[in-house]
Amino acid sequence: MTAFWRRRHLTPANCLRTLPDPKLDVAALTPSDELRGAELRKAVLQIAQLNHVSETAQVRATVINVRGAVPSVGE
Amino acid sequence: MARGIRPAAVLTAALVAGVAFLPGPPAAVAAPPPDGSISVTVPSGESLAPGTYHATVESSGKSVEVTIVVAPPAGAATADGEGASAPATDQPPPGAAPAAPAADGTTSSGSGSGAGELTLIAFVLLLLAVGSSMLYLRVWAPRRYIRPYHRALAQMEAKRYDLALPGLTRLEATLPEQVRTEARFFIAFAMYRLNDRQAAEHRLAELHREDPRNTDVAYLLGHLRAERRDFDGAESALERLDPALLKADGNLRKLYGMVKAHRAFAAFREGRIDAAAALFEEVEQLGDFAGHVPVDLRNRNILVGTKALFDRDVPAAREQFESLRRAADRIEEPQRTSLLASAELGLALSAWLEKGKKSATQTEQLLVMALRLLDPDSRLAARWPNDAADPGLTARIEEMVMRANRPAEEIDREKTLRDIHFLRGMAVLREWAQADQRFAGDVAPDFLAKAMGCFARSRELDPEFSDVHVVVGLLRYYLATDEAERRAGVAVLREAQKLGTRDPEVLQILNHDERVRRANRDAAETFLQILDRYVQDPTVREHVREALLARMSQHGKVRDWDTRPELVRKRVVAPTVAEMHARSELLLARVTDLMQNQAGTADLSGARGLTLNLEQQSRAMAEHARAIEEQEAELLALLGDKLLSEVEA
Repeated sequence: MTAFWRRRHLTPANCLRTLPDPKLDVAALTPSDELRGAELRKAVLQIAQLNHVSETAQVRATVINVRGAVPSVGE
Repeated sequence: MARGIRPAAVLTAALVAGVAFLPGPPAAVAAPPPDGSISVTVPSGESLAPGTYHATVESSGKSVEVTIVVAPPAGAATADGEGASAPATDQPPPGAAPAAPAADGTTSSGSGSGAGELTLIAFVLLLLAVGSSMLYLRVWAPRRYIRPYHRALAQMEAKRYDLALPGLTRLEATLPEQVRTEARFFIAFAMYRLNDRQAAEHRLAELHREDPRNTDVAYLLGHLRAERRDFDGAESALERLDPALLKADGNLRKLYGMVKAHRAFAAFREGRIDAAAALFEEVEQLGDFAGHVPVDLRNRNILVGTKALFDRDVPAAREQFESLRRAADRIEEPQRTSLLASAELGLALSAWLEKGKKSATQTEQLLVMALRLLDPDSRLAARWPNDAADPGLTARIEEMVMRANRPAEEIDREKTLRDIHFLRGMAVLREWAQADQRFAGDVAPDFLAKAMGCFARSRELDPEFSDVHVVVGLLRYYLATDEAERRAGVAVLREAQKLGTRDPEVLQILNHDERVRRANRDAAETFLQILDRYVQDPTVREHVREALLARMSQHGKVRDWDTRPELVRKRVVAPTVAEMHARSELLLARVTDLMQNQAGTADLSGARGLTLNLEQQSRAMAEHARAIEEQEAELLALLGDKLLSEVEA
C-alpha cells in the first residue's frame, strides 16, 4: 500500500543523504593545553615540571656540587 | 491501486458468482395456492423426484430463471397434474429450470427453507456492503489524497520546503497509517531545513518515542541534537537502534562514532578519566574516527596513568604503566611497540618524580628504552655546534616556516623526542648533582660530555627550543675555567635570549657581558689615542716607534693600520733626560688612568707590572742624571782645585 503512495517519489533515506557527513574536529574539541595535558607524549616537560626556573635551579645545584659555589656574575 | 482493487474485485466477483451459483433458497414445488400462486404441470408419465430443479420461464419475450423444489413425500407438496413426484436424485431432471427466488424472500412452500433464504440474502448483502466499503476506502477515497501528497513530495525533492510543509501538514491527519509516519518524517525534515529546529526536534522525538527502532528518525534526531551539541541526547536517540545496524551502516556508524567521541572528550575535560577511557575505546571500535583520537587517549592505562602523574600519585602511575607494559607484550604489532614506548616513558616520568637517590639514573635508562622504541634508528647523542655562525633573521624565519609546514604528526613526534632527550640531559645533571662531592669534580668531564650529548640531540630536533640553550649556556658559563669558555657560555645564552628567554639570571649575565664589552671598547679607543701620540713623539727613537707599530698591526680588525699617518717627525738631536722623564711620566699617568677605568676582563696584570717597572726606572733615570751632573761638577771642581792651585802658586 505504501508503494502505491510512494511510487517513484521521495524517501526518508533520500532526505538524509542530503545532510553533511558527520565530521570530527579534534583540535576544536579541546584547547591545545588540555589535550597536551592528557597526552603523555606531549606532556613530558609539563609532568616533569621543567621550566626555566626549575632548569636553572638544577644547573646551580650541579655547579655547587662541582665547584662548591656558583660563581657570581663577573667573577 | 491494484492491491486495493484486487481484494475488492475478487470479493465482488465472488459475491456475484456466489449469487449466480448459489443454490438459492430451496424453492417449493409449485402447488396450487389458493390465490394466484404458481403451479407446474409435468407431462404424463413423468414425475419429479424430491429435490430442487432450475427452470427458465419464458413469457412475453422475458425469461425468468426459477427454482422448483420438489419436497419429499412426507409433508411435501406434489406437482399438480398428471405426473406423480419422483424420488429426489442428485441430478436435476431434464427440462427442469430453476425457479427465481422471491423478492421478498418468501418461498412458495415451507417455512424452514424461507428462513434459510433470508439468511443467505442477508449474508450476501452484508458481504456486498463490506466489499463496497472496502473498495471505497481503499481505492476511491484515497484518490483524493494521492495527488496532493505526491505534489508535496515533489516539492520536497525540489527543496521547496516552504511549499511542501503546509501541504504535508494539511494532509497529515487524513493519510493512511503506514504513510502518515513517513509524512511526519518529511514534515520534521522540512521544518529542519526551514531552520525551525525546535519544532523539528519535537516532532522527531515524538516519532522516536513511538518507534525507537526507526533508523531514519533516529538518524535525523541524532544529527539535529549533535548539531545543537547535545551529544548525550544524540546518543540516546541512536543507542536504541539495532547494535548490528549501528556498526554496519556507514553514515549511521559515523554519526554514532562522532557522538561518542564528543562525549569522550567532554568526559575527559570534566576529569572523568575512566568514563573518557571507556568512550574512547568505543570510538576506536567503531573505527571511523579512531585515527582522530590522539594515540595516548585510546588506552585506558595511559589515560589513567597520565592523570596519576599530573596528580603526583607516583605509585598509582607506576602501577598503570607496569600494567601497560605487561599487557603490551600480549598485543601484536604495530600497537605493541607504541604501547611499550608509552609504558617506558610513563615509568621514566614516575622515576623522575620520585627524586630518590637512584631515580635519576633509572630515569635516564628508561628514557633510553623509550627512545629505542620510538626512534630506533636514531642516535642518542650529538655534538653541540660551537662557533656556529648566525644564519641571519631571514634564514631563521625560512627554517621556522619550513618546519611548521610539515605534517602535524611529524611535528608532534619530533617534539616528543626533543623533550625526551632534554629530560635525559636533566637526569644526567641531577645524577651529577647527587654524586659524591669529593669526586664530582673528577667525574665532571664524563658527566658534562654525556649531558651535552643529550642536550645537543635535543637541539638538533628543535633549534628553536630555548630551554636547552638556557641550560647549556648556564652550565658552560658557571663551569668555565677561562675567559674563552665563559664567552662560549655567554654566546649560547645570547641565543637563548633571541629565542625569547627572559630569565633574570640569564639577563644578568648578558647585561654584565655587554657592560664589559662596552668598557673594553672604550679602553681600546683611549689606548689607540695614547699610542698615536707616542708614535708621533719625536723624542722616541724611530726604530722603537716602527717596531711598536709593526707589532700593533696584527690587530687588523680594530683599525686599518695601513692608513696610519707616516712617521714624519724625526729628530736630529737626541732627547734630553728631562724630556724622556717627562714623556714617561705623562705616559704612565695616561696608562694608569686607562687601567683603572678599564672594567673589562682583559688580563692587565702584566701591564701593571710594567707600569711599576717603568715608573721605577724613569725615577732612577732622573736620579742617575742628577747624580751624573753632580759627579761631573765634582770632577770639574776637583780638577780645578788641583790645576788652578799650581798656577796660583
